[in-house]
Amino acid sequence: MQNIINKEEVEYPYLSQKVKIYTFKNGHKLVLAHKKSTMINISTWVKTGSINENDHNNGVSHFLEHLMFKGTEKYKAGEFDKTLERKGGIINAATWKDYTFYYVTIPKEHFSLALHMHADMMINPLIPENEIGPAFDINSEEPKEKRERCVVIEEIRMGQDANWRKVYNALNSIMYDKHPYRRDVIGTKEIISTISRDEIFRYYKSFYTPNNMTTVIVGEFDDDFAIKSVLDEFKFQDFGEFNKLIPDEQIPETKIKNPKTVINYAHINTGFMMYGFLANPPKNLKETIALDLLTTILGEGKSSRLNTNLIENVKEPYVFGVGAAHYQLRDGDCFLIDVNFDANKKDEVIEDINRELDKLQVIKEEELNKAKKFAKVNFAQESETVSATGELIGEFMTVFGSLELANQYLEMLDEIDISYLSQIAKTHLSKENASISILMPEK
Amino acid sequence: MKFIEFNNTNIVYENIKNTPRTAVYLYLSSEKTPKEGVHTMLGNLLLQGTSKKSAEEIATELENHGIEVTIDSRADFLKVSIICLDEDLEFALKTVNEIMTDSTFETLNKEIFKFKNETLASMDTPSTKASDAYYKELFKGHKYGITNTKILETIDNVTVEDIKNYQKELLNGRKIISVASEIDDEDRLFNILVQNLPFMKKNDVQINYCPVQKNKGNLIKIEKNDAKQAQIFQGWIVDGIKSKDCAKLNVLNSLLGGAGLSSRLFVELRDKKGLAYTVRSSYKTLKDGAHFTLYIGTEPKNIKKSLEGFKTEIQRVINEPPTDVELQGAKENFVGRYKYFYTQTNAQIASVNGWNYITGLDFSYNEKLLDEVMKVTKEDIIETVKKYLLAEPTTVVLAPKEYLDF
Repeated sequence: MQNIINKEEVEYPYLSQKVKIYTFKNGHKLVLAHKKSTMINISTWVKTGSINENDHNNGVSHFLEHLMFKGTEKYKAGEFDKTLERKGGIINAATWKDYTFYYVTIPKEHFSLALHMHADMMINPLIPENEIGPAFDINSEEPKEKRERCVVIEEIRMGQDANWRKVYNALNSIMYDKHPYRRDVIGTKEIISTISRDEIFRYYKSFYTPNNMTTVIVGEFDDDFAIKSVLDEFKFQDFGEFNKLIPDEQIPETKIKNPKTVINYAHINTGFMMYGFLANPPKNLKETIALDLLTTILGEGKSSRLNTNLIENVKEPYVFGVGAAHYQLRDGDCFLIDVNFDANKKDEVIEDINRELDKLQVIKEEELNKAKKFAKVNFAQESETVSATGELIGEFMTVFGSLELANQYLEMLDEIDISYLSQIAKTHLSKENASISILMPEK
Repeated sequence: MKFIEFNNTNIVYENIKNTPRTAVYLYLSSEKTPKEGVHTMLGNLLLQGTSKKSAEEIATELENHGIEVTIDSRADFLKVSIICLDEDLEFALKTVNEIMTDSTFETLNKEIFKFKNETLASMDTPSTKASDAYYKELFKGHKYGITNTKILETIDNVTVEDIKNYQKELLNGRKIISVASEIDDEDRLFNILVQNLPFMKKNDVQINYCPVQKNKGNLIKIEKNDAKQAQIFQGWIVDGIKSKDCAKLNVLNSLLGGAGLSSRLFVELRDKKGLAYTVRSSYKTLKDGAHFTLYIGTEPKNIKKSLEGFKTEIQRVINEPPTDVELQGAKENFVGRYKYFYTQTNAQIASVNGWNYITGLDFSYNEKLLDEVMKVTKEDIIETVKKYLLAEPTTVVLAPKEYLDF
């Protein structure tokens, strides 16, 4: 097909056929992955999220995600949801720092309809004023009409009642110096209650461009039919000349410049604490794998060091839950340790975590082997359904920048040894490099 | 799907091609209800050490092989789920056998201490606090109402002897091994299962049903003064798996609030009125009963409007019953969601098959239910609403004090 300017085929873990990646003339990418299933998953990943926001429009990526469901010329608001859900489809979308993605998982006999409506939603959204709802000053007035603006404000309120989210957001604000990752993806009530339709649409036109989008299809389908359908349905609009949004400077921060501790208070019974560290972008595959392995060793599963030493081997543990997590972000990974604890023991918990961080530079062979097995099993788990497979492929395409890294991940895993792991722990996970966010019961 | 009695062990098996991980689910149930907390503590203690291995050693052995073993103490049964790569299956089963037959329960006091603190910590989440109060009230006097905060009241009375006695009851109770795997040599697979899980030999135990009694409804208000959202749970005890109304209630749920972005509650209370981010209904079936529940998280000043909204939407099902298209959509939505949530992975398949057996259903139950769903009519939906949802509901509202005066 003449619209295709590039085709790659890559091996992908646990899929029996190679995954095909097509690049069209306009830069739009299409990934086709075959997997036996009664369902088919279609998703489109847009390389934009809170990373492309500033202090004045923080939350616009997520608000736009909501508004994309509010109708096109062909289908009025609600038709998309109604039509596909009435065919047994699961539809939704998610916004993150680096990306926004929209998906449909539906019994495979409805593939054509789902692709048609999904593409229409992606490229022809009306974003109507009446669905957004009137702007209002949230600190002094009631909205004249409660529409999607208020739905997002409710979502913000929901987050304000979620203790871990509060701790995580406070941590982001002290971990980063200037990078847009410091902002909360969902934005603020003040911005969401006032942002205009024009600003939202300008954001759409600036970032929902063909070369910023990857469509992923996973399931059983005919390749030629899928390619032709995508080319036919994704007829991108030409918006001509307009004042494109220029994102804030995005200089990667791979180490916290000024590690800090912040303490907030709430009406709670127990304490919540999160340690945060920054590292290099995930395209440095070996390093990002090492951080995945360190996550397992430190804080995944019952036999992890944190769980064993802070809970299981303590007679009367003052730590109630503990874990570690590793977020791969385009401009630099983020490593987290989270602890829920007896609020009277805050200082002891900090000592405990610091001690575990010091000990992390010495790793046993069996710990490394366990972590490698975990990583392999995680891949197997994430290839069990069409939707999980689509999600992982989308993430590799947008955050890692290449799907080939998915296969290389498992090959490179075997190259990692204890000394490399210790070196990464020392470089990135020393207590001196951490910022700490704590949520304590109000006094 | 194949159900077989193999060497005196009940096994249900589905062969699923091209799946790297095998799922084995063990279901065990007893007709005797132990004292409060014993069932939960047994589940918590089963991974805490045997006469030969400490908790740490067990966890390390399993996790070194990337094996997931989860013990889940549900009100109707104990479920042991084992998910692993095919190559690790025998090792996983041997370990589970040891856990299930040789656990010492020596760390009971520590587990009680942990349980108390974990429950306290979980109550820091407003929705968890409200839902705990909701189920405690909805199922008052029944084992389904024994929530974590209810268990806390008497947890100190639980002894190791209680745990051991109850474990014996379970091992002498109704049991099944449910497996979903790409391993297609059935004989080899069944031999591996029965040889490594000898405690799963079947007992001839009849299942008894003790249907939950409907309650009179009640309103519970919980103060949480810094809550940014009110948490509202409202619901009714309704008929469950053995009832001809089960299919109707499932379709009603899809129509009202279980279908995702297009159900009536979502469209009316979220899309049109902007009251919430999360608003939904759910129909949950258990062995001895079921509940139909509405939920919304909303700005505290919207409590009254939300409760009125629930009432209006229930009444509207009668006054503006679904059109043929809406009804057909609700049915197909149920079927699609069923496929999505219960037929995609080996774990989902093994879980469903085992659940059917342990709750006394036959293995074709789900297919029959899907057929029944497709036969539900507009009149059925109206009749179902009248039968169940016009009664006084059980309602729990959590919010700051100043908003609870309604």
